[in-house]
Amino acid sequence: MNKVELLAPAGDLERLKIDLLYGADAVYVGGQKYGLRANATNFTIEELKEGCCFAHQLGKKVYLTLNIVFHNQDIEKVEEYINEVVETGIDAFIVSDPFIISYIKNNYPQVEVHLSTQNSTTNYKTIEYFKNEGIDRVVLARELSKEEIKEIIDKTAIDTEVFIHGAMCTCFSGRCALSNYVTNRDANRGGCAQVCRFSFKTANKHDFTMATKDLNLARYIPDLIEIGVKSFKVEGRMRSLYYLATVIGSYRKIIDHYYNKNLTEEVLKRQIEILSKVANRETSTQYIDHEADETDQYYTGRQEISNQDYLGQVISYDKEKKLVKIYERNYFKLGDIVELFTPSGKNIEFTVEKLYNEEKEELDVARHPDDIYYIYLDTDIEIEEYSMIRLIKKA
Amino acid sequence: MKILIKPTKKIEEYQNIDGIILPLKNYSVEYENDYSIAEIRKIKENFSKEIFIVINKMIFNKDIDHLKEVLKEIETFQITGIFFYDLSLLKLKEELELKTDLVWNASHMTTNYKTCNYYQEKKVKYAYLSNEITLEEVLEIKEKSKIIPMITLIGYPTVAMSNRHLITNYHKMHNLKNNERLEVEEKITKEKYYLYENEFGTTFKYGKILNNIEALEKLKQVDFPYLILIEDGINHSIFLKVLDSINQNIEKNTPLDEIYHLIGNNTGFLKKETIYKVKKDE
Repeated sequence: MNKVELLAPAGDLERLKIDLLYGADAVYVGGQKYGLRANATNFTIEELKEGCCFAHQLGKKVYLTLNIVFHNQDIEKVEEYINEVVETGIDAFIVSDPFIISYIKNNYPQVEVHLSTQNSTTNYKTIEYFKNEGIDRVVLARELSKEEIKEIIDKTAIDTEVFIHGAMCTCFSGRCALSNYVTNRDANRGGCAQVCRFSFKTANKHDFTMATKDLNLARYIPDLIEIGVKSFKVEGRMRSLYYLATVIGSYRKIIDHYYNKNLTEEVLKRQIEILSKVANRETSTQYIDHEADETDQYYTGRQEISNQDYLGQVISYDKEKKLVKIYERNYFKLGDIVELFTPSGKNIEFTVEKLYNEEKEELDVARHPDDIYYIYLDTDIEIEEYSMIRLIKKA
Repeated sequence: MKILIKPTKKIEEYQNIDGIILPLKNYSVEYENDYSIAEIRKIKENFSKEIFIVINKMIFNKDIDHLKEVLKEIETFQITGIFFYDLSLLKLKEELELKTDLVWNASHMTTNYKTCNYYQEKKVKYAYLSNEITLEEVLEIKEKSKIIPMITLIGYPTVAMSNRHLITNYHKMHNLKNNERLEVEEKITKEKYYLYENEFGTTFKYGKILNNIEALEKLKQVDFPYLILIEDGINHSIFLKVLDSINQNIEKNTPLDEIYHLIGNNTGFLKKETIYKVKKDE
């Protein structure tokens, strides 16, 4: 049985590695040009080569976004860029412009082309059009219900990719120039200033806001697999390493438990709880099971909360001295109950009993983000590179 | 050079136009008023100039069967073209072997000549260019593409379209009396935006009329094929004066100064390139 693909966002090479080690089957990345996250670090040609090499060694894939709305000056140079990128070994381009689709398919038929969500594809007839143009997969609009997705799959037999987690646009993708008008930053060429998260004055005392809650379809994973969705996409190329490790790790577990026929309510609840801890906004299921309404938005301006559960990234583990060396991200202290989690899905919950600074002096508190600390941990479990530690309960 | 208008009043009231744009009821968004098939048929009987119909809403699965019937019916009364957003229209034109020409009308995405040429090869005859490109880009598209381009000369620009009922949601959450319209002001720039809502969601319009007449001379020089004037939101008598001034300028090269007094001088992105990289080092 072919398992559904778990597709993760990677804003840079380190995120690509974290995603793949924590269980993503593929990653999507932006190059230095023509992607919709112009302000992410993005990948040079050399980094794309390295990323593809790393992914392919694990039997995984890399997709490159090429989904801006091209102006004359962009489109004149894009063919040269495509030629260069194909050589890096990427597995697919994510594209919305049909001219680019035809160029890639005419010149590199071996490379897959995925129709970007920027096209806001909402019906099967449009997919039939693009199927004739050679696309291999469609990233569906986030405005579709489960029933509409099923009908599209039944009628077109195309590979479909569905967003399951992360931030949502308020407007249809591609049909929004709020950023252009309000900030002169081009929403459709990678400069979106997220104006839909601003608040606006009105004639009455209540400001107008339209920011959406984030998407979380963890509960719908079994349903979406059963209707034939081929790929689950997580949003967030500019998200932190901890966020990616947690979200990808959780969805990996949900998907694997489903295929192993042991996705119990308890497992699901536990993973949803983990996902909620890493979230910096409230979440909803948006359009998948209802017409998005007033409950799917915010009414009080920006709502992001900073997440301080992430305590640090593991650098190494000294088995003899039983010390975990970490790169600290947030304050913690003796007596805190913490959890170390690894890319391969192992979790070790323990109480911080002994804590040292880089000079191995004993401490009560780890106060300084970015400093190196050592925590005492007695375990036989293999602690891999890129493991992380999060707070479970304060002392 | 032809002038198309999107009217809000009876067609007989507009002089010296080459055609009209009629948003189709149940299939169009971004316009203030729309027209049923029966109304368009009746207009067609008494109007010998060009008629374009707008079908620019997002098309969902449930729309497809009815849309086929609508397209077949439109085919029977021979209009000039259909403005389309969703590519299902292109597929249906091919499947139903429709003769009616199409206008590629992808709002903010009709922005380069190569993609225009792609559509022209797919038998799309016209392209309604985005309001978010510069005059230089408009002229380059005219020069380098085989498609027949159209641009907005006058009208409130559409800024965004959401599937959500944002005005209803806002009123509901604050226990306010609902209204289909809402005026909002961005706090830093103090710019106004007009929102209106229908069954298909919420449309955002910029609060200032786009006035591209500054480009008229250059557009005349290259014999730009179509200029579009959208009346929505503009006082009717002012709109007629603007239309008259533009016609006189095209025919006799008369001054256009009055137009600035009537509708302001917002040239949108005509002379202003957007930015999309905001890093300090780039």
